[in-house]
Amino acid sequence: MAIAEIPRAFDPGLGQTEGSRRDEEEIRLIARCVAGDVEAFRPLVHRYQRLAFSVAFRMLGSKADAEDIAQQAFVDAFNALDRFRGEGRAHAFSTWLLRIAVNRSKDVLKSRRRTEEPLNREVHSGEAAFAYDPPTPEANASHGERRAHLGAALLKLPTKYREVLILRDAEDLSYEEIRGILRLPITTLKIRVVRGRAMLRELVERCGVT
Amino acid sequence: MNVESPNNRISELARLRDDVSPPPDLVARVMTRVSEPRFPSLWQWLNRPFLIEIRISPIVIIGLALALGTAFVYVGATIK
Repeated sequence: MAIAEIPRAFDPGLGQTEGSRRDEEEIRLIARCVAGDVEAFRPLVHRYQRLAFSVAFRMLGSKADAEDIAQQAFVDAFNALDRFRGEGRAHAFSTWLLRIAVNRSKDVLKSRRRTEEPLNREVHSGEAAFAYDPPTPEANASHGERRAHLGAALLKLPTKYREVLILRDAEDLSYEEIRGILRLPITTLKIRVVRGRAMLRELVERCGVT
Repeated sequence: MNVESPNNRISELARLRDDVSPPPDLVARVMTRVSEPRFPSLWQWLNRPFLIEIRISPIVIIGLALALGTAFVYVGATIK
C-alpha cells in the first residue's frame, strides 16, 4: 500500500475529516502489523521518516546520530505496537513515535554530556531579548548560511528549550500535540517556548548572525 | 535576519525543516530490521505456551489405574 509522504507531520492545512481519515488508516495499518503483516509498517515509516529524522537532527546536530535515532525509534515503535493505544486521539501514532525519538535523542545528549565537555550554556534571557530589533540589514550571508547559523544557535540552547522550539516553531506542531509528546502541561510548554525564543534571539544576536 | 513574526515566532526556524531530508535508504533499513526474527525477552519466553504430548496405550492406562488403586488401598489400610 502506498501512502504519499506528507510535507509536514501534522499538516494544519488538512481538514478535520482528512486528518481523522489518516488516523483511521494508520490504526488499520497498525492492526495489520500486530497481526503479523510486517509490510503494513512500510507506509508508516515512509510517512514519518522526515519528521523523525528532522527532529532528531535538530536535537543532536549530527546526521549520523539522527539517522540512528530515527531508525531505532521506528524499530522500537514497531516492537511495541501491540501496546500502542490510540484511543481515538488525533495524530496518536506520530505523537507516540516522536516521543520515542525525542527520548532517545535526550539519552544520546545525556551520554554525550558524560563523555564530552559541556557546551557553554550561559544564555541570558533578559527582557532585551524579547524586544528584538533586527540588526543592520547589510547582511550578506546567504539564506543557507543564516539558517546554518540558526541551527547552530539552536544546538546551544538547553535541551528543555530546544525540544519545544523544534516541535513548535520548526515542525509547527500544536501545543496539544507537543503535550502528548513531552507529557508536560501546556502552560509549562508555553513558558518554555517564550523563554527559548528569547534565548535563541539572544544567541543569534551575540553570534552576529543578521 | 528576520526572526520576528506576528505571533512572536522565529520564522526562520520553520525554514530549517527544508534543510534536512532523511537518508534515502532509511525506510529500507527500518524494514530490514523489523523483518528480522526477534529474540524473545525472558518474560516473553517464560510466558510462551507449549504443547506436551503423551503417547500412552490402553494397557498402560489400566496398569497405572491398578497400581494407583492398590497404592490407595495400601495407604488406607496402613493409616487404620
